[in-house]
Amino acid sequence: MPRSLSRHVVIVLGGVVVLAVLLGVTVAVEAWRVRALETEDVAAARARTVAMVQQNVRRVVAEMERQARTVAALPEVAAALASGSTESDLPALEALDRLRRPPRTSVEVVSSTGDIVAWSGPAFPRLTAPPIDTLSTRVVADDAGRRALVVWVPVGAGAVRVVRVVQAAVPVRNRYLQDYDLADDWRPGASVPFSVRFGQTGVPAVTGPDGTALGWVQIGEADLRSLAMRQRATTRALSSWWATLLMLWVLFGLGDALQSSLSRAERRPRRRTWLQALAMLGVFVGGLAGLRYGMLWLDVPVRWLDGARRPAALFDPALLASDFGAGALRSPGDLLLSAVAVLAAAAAALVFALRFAASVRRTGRLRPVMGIAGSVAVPWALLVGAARWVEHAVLDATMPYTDQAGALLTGPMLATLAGLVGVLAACVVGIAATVSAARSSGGRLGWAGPVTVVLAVAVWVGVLWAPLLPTLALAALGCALAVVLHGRPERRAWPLTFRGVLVGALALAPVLYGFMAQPLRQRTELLLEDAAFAFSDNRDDRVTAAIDQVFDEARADDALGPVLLDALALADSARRAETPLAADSSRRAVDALASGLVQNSLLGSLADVATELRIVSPAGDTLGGYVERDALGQNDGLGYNASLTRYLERDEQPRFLRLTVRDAERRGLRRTAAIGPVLDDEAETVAWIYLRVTPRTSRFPTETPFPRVLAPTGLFGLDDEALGYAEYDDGILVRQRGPAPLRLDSTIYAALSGRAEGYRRPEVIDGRPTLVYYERQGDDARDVVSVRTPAGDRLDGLFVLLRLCLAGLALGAAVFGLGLIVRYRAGLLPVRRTRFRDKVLNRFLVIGLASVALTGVVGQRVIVEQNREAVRDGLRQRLSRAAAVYALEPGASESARLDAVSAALGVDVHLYRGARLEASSRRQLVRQRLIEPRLPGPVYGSLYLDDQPYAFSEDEIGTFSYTTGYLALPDSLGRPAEALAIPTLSEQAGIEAGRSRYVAYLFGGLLALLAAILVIAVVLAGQLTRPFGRLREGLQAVGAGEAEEPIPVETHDEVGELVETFNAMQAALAESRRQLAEQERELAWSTMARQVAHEIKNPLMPMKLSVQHLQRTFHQPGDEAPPEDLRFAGQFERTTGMLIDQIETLDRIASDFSRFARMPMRAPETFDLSEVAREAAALFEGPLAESGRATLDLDLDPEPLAVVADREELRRVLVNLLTNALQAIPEREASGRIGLRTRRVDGQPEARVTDDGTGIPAEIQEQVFQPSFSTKTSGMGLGLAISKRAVEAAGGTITFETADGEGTTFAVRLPPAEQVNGAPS
Amino acid sequence: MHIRPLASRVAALALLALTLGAHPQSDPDAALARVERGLEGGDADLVLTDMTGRVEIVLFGQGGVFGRPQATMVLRDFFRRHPPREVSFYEPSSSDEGQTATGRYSTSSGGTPLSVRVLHRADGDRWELASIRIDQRSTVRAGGR
Repeated sequence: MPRSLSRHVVIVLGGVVVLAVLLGVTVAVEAWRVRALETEDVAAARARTVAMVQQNVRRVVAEMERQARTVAALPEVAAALASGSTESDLPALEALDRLRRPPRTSVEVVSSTGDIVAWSGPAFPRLTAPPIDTLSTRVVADDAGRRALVVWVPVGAGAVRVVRVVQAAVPVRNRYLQDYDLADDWRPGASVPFSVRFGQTGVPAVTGPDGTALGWVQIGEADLRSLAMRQRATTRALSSWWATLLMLWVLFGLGDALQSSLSRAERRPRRRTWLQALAMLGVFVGGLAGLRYGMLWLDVPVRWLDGARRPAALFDPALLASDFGAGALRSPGDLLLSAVAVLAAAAAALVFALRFAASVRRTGRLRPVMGIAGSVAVPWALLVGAARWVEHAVLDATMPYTDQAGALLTGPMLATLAGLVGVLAACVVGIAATVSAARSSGGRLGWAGPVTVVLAVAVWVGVLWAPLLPTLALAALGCALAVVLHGRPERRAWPLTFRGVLVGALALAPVLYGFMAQPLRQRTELLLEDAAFAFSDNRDDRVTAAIDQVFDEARADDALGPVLLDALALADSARRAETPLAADSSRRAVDALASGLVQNSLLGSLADVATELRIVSPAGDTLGGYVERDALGQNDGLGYNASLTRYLERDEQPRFLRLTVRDAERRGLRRTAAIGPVLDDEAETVAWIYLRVTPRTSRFPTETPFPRVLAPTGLFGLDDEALGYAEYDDGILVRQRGPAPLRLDSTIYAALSGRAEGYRRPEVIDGRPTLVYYERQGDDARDVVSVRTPAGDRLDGLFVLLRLCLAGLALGAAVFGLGLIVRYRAGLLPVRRTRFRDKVLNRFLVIGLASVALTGVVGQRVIVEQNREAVRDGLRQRLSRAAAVYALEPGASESARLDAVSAALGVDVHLYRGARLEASSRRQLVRQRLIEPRLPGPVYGSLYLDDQPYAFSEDEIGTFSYTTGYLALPDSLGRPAEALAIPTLSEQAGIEAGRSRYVAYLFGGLLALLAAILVIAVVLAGQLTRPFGRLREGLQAVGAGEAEEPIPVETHDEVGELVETFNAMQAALAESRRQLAEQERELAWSTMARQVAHEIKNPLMPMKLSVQHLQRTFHQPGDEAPPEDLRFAGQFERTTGMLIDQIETLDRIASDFSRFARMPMRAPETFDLSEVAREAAALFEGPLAESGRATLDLDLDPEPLAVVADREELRRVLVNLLTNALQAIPEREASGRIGLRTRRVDGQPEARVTDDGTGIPAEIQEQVFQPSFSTKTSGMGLGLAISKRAVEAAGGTITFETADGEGTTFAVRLPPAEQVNGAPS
Repeated sequence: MHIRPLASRVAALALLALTLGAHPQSDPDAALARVERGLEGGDADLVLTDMTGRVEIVLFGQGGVFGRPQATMVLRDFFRRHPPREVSFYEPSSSDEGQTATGRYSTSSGGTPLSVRVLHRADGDRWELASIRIDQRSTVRAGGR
């Protein structure tokens, strides 16, 4: 075992042992502590809890005191108090508004006279105020039941009052509204369950710093069992930490082992080693699955994140939970963690496949059948699994994927969508791994096999199991990734790079949208069916829930019993006419109770029903009640007497009985009644509560839309503002929520006349595409319920796509961050060599992303600002109209006038007098303190102190934000006396949706821009860097000494100039290289020629002398000599003659070599070129005449052409050229023509030798002046080389022009003697 | 954490099988009793025995309408965080079309009991579980009365 490997093993095993020991110890401690619990421990835990509560209350009070002193230190506040004014102070109001205030806290600055001169935050009643100079702490309750801690801090000439709400209940609970209890923050650390009863007297008491009792601590059912359970919960949270760490450590060890086995297989590539690595991969993937399901079993990490009542939003199954994957998708956070595990497994498989592919080239291949089979089965499973995963994540979720109101991305939605992108990424990586492995295993099939198989599988899967286009896209992405990575080790880390994750996120987002589209449609259809069921048959779950609320409230209301008993007694007295005044008073009290029961329930908020509530004595006297307009009905089957009879007829009498009846006059409408007893402590009936709810038909005006903030959660979609409902009887609208056509067309009835109970079709309502679901009621199609919801248009798709892209980018950022670590550990970072193209591309992308982000941020701010201004403009117009309507009936009560305004404009409206709320059209909100009864300080300052006509405030009900507009109403003297206020409560969802649509447009455009930037960046980077790439290649060629063609100049800028410069440099280098090669060649020839001349010439002379001696000594036979002697003599003479000729030929060749090799020993002189030409022509006449093939034309310049050169050498040059010209003329009938001409050309003397011979072929023209080149059968081919050297030695040039079959002209051009000598000769 | 006895699970599965395969239950009290036993035993499957299509579950004011898989997970998570000790329903309210029952849900941790409201709807002969709402009575009352 290698030393490094053994060290890793030791570390892993050591960690496992340590964590296992810690886990065991924790479990043992838990068991010991639970067993050791005794009764005294319960008392101690109670004492600890009380002390903890006391300590926390003191801390909160201390914070409030600090807040008060901070306020007192404000100069504006100090000035306001010092002035002694009793009026509100504008600078102090503005200063308080600027001050950061903790939530649920208000601050008031009180003058020495007790007047409030500045305030910020919600109003709370002042009880008996303490002396102005006394520090005190109290608990105060308001008429909505909220309780608050109040700290009164004397400062200077006044006091600062800080109020913090500590407990508040809400009428309905939903995602905006929840009860608040300060003690909830303290419960996680409590030893036993408890409640703090603020403002009540009890033991153990909680006191303030001044000893004032602020409340008492109520301890829950604390016993040994509950204490043991809490201790178990604490220790199990710790032991789950150890268990999770242990599993992670084991997985780390498995990863290390996988890495080692891969390295071993690469070092010793055998089938056995690779199979071992494959087995190790399986173990690692199994370890990942074990870790994931182990975490699910341990409830990790949700166990560590649980809130007091609900789970952390990220792990809330109410948002998403599915049984798919055996719990792997049981919450948004779990989906993300499962996706990460799957992605890690796929990445490990890809690493294996790529390393295997790189190795099998050297070691042979596994069975092709296995590869092909794998490439069929694995992609199929991956594609089906991914499609199912996404489908369940949509169908088994209430996550508002398409909701445009609210935040663009919440934490749970981000986790879900990022997880789904991760799942698709894992699918792509898995397919790439499969294709790569199949490529390696598939032998000769190459790429075609696996790619074709994968695509075929994808088509099959698409047709049968999953949406076609996204499945194809996913398979294609997998194949593309395999093509990019396979066989290119340098690219293995590309998916982890900036561009890799960017491309991946932007490519997978639209694919995911394709997978989600169909399940989203299915979910909408389910929602419509649920809503239709809840609305059908006149069923209205809102009414059902509201009736429950009323009876629950009546049961819990402690005040109801005594009031009813008093009322009963007074009713008896009234019957005897004894105390009519007292009876009236009692009835008013019961009326108030009845009104409260209705108004504090959901019934008080429903505008489309009318409610009647009566409280009746057992004797049948109506003690009091509450009746809304349109609520009084006939004394029919739902009347009090009939209902009571039905109730009493029951064998087991329920808490209350709910009855419904269809109104004969109003077809399709059904009224609901409920009746139940109010019991005393002895379970005797004190009174009966009778409740009747009558739906208002569409003929009655619907009032202000119902704000979603007041709707309880659920109700089968009835709380969804986007849904509209209608019921038709015989095609006529009988009831509705939201706008609906007054009649149904006949096609609906035709569609529902068959067996189908439901019929779904798209419609256009108010110009907006809408999906409408019609459901038949009963057996015939006479009664039809319809539910409408806006159909998804392109913008909705864009909005979802935007969310997917952002989630994908978030996941990509995480992968990139993780990739940095992986790449660093793999030695890929810091990057040793970066391509210039990549650098340019990265900078383009960074600039593009920065521009898009900046545009997005600025654009969103602009949209928000414009939206806010639009909302304020709308509010100004409504306030103006509201003021006009309000002024119409000055004599009516304020409430009636506000109701008229609300009915006319369809909005809520409030009236303020001074800072105090006087009346409201939405009284329920005021009664429940969901609307503050005091103007916000800055608004008061603007309207009353700064004389502004309009003011606006951003308000909240729970977490529901809305805008309120205010209009000052002047009195007769023009001074602002009152203010009308209109909130955007009921239309806030529409405002947010409108704003979100603009944001979607903006970000959709930005996404398109980002994609365009990506493409343009790739193209531009390629274009910009291509010349540099060619330059690099050219430089490399120059460096390697290779010839290179000039680089084409494509641009006319600095880069083009650079290329031109490079081309010129390259040409100069090529010429230099050519000249150098020529010189080297000539030098070599010179050396060789010198040696050859020396070696040949030395023996020639003795040979020639010997032959001549033989000739001289040979005696010629006489004529009478025998014929043999005569033949021998002849033969002897011819042979020796031939020998001498050959020796002379060799001598000439040797002389040529000698001349070529001779170091220049020239004797330059000045002479006339024409004269030398004439001498050469004379020397040439002999050979010319001997050949008889040509004639010589001599054309000499009459003017002297003075040159400086070796005269004899120049003459030989011309003779050589003339000889070559003669030899170039072939045997033919016509005589050839040779010309010798001298002239001054461009100021330089020139001699031209022309012939009309065969010309020089193009392929040998470059070799004409090279030594050893000759087309002749005799000689060594040195003539032209020697001539060139001689001419160039004289400073001249020799060139030629030739045409195949037409002849050749050699030109010898020399510098004029004047130039050489520096002066005229 | 409350450990559900094996017998309870077996009984729940048997009941589920009987419910799905046999004649629909027609007794609203039996349907409510199943919910009560399921809540007390922390058995989400038993609670949802009479669910047919989708069920509304609202916990502490938040929730929605869920299919069976999600509803099961939601209840299991609730039981994990609030292990039950005892569940009891008061006398239900009833009508021709359904029955509503309100009860107390005491947790093993010994805190303030939660309130439970269960709605069954009559669908022919069958009583279908329509809604479960679990909430906590706040220490103060809305409206201040």
